[in-house]
Amino acid sequence: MIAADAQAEVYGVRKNGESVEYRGCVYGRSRSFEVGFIEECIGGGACGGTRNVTLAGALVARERFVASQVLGTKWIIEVEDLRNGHVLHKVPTGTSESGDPKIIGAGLTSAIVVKSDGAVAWIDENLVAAGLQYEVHVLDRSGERLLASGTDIAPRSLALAGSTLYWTQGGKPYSTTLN
Amino acid sequence: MRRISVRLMMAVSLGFLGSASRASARSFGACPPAGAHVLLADSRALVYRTYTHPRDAQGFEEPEIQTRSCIYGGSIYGGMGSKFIWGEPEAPTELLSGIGNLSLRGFFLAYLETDSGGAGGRYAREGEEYREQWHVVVRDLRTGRVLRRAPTGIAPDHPKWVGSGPAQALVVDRSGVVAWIVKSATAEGSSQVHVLDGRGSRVLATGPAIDPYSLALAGSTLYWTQGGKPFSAPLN
Repeated sequence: MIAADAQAEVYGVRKNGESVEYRGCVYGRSRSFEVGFIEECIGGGACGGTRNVTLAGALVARERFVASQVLGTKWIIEVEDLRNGHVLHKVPTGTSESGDPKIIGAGLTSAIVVKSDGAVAWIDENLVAAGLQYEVHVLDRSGERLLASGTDIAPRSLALAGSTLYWTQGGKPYSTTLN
Repeated sequence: MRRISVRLMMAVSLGFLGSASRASARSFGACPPAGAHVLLADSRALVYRTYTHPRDAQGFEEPEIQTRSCIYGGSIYGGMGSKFIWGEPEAPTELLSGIGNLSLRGFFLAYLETDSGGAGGRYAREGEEYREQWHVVVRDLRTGRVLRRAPTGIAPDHPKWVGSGPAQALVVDRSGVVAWIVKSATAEGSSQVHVLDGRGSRVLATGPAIDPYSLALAGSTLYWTQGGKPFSAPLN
């Protein structure tokens, strides 16, 4: 079991004795949807997988990533409705400073929270000129925005109470409202 | 040499896979039973409400709403059976007791337990002392046993009252430490943030401007809002 709440669950299924696929479904329904697959690497240096699977009612949020020398690197946030498989959001985790068109997204996420209306927030690890820094992002009805960045953001400090989003930076709590 | 994953090969070569593929859902196993209403679930446990019809000593059915739980193991919920948490008559009665504000994390379930009324589980008669009891309870769902139980706060000066009022918000962490916000039933407008762990109960904050529904947890960091500003404290 990867994640569950009162309406839905995400579970792992071994495929052909190899990879583990993540599937999600709403309780009482016979249809399930592919949510991602376990993180793994292959011989040629390519890695990929799904991280930080999070549920809010029937919505599932997660990060999908693929890193390949040939095809580039992608870190994507997706929010999907497990009642019908509709993808509500599909956005890069942030903006990379590299300028390389083969890099989409800023880096891996360390935490994701999602609201039952589809608003989503995450912390990603962005490698910038000054080194590794963390970024707090939000995507809601007001659009996508960067709320905070710095080396002193606690990477797993994201929490949600109703529409209030919390995180910790420099040892201090911060909050904002998701719209 | 490790076999190349077909799944990863497809993801790398095609970009991300479409997620709306069709397949049959996982079978649920023993828990929850058919017709049950799932209240809460996470990757370790599931809490549900179900209707039962036990018979009394005279053979009459006494419909009851039961809250039960089961834990995840062996690829299904409920492989080790279910645990009873709470039961109450389905039909309205004079008994004013129940559980609410449930919070689940890992194997731990926390909730508010309310018990109020007169003697013998009925409304208080005129002139009779009224009983009001509010407790926060934490259960370990692996055993079904109560791990912690404490009044929601210091009771007003009343012989039949236990706890300071109903907990309005409640969160539990993966080690069974619980926190809640309670608004005093007597001191108008005064709220408190409480924590209950293995060392007992303590008050983290008090005042009229605590947002009663602002409690949130990230790992073991507890957040709340007071006077429009965020506050935090470690739970252990």
